Amino acid sequence: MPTDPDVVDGALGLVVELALTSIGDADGVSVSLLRHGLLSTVAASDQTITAMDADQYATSEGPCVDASVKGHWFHAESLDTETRWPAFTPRARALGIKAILSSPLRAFDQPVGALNIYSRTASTFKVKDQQAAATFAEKASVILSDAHIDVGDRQMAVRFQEALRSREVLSLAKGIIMEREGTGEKDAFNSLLHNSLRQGTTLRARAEAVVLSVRRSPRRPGGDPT
Amino acid sequence: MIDPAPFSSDVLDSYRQEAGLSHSELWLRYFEIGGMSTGFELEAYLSGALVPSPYDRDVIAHALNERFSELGANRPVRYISEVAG
Repeated sequence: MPTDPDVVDGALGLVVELALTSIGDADGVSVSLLRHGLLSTVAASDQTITAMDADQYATSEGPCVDASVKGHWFHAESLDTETRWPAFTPRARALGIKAILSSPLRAFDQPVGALNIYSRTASTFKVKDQQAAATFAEKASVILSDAHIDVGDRQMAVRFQEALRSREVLSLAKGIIMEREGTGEKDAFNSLLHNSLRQGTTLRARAEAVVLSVRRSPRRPGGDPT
Repeated sequence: MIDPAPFSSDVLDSYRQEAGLSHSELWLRYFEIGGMSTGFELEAYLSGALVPSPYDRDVIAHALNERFSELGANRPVRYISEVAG
């Protein structure tokens, strides 16, 4: 018995939201899935993005279609100079889209869809954005693979939602430490890690303490937890 | 007894098994605390096919140690930064 599609779509919606907030200059994100042999958009950040996907299905071309069918990623760095998808590209430009990054989704190692990230700024997606997109696509693939095996189980979506919240708190705490101490991200992580080990708390609890310290006393000089 | 290879991949994978975590559950925990590698890469780190960066190695170690803490055990997995520092 397959997982309730609403649960899967809800989890994919979370992936879309997180990708949108995490990837710099992303103006829209969607997830396309092959269902019953046809590609459709199961989660999208807004209507323009849904229309953008629909234009690709209608023309049977575009990075989303290629990533979904061929199973590897496609990056349209600048649609002003893009030549691979002549029917689709003018439609995207008409909606103000300048760059697209599509990463394949897989279930049981078969391509089944794509995570699509759109931007109104050309040449904006850097290597770290591509890596982040691959991570989100990987997570969505795990959700899709599990959906076929592990049925009616809402735990996965709930667990993933929890993981995203923790990760966001941790990112925020690292940013605060970086700002406060003028350090890089890895040093900020090590600082959190060592303090959490010393105090016997979880990393998340330590990160929450750092975030709360700023909310309580934004200008307190020194003595804040790290 | 001194562990002759505290950072080798098979040591990490045996800790994963001892902690009762599937690959995907370990990945989720690793992702939760800031890991950026994909699940495929994490499996490659554990099988020895890829070598994690010191940062990734410590994030994996910590994901495992938090699991051991939940189980009431001391944190057995060593950190690279701890040894270096």
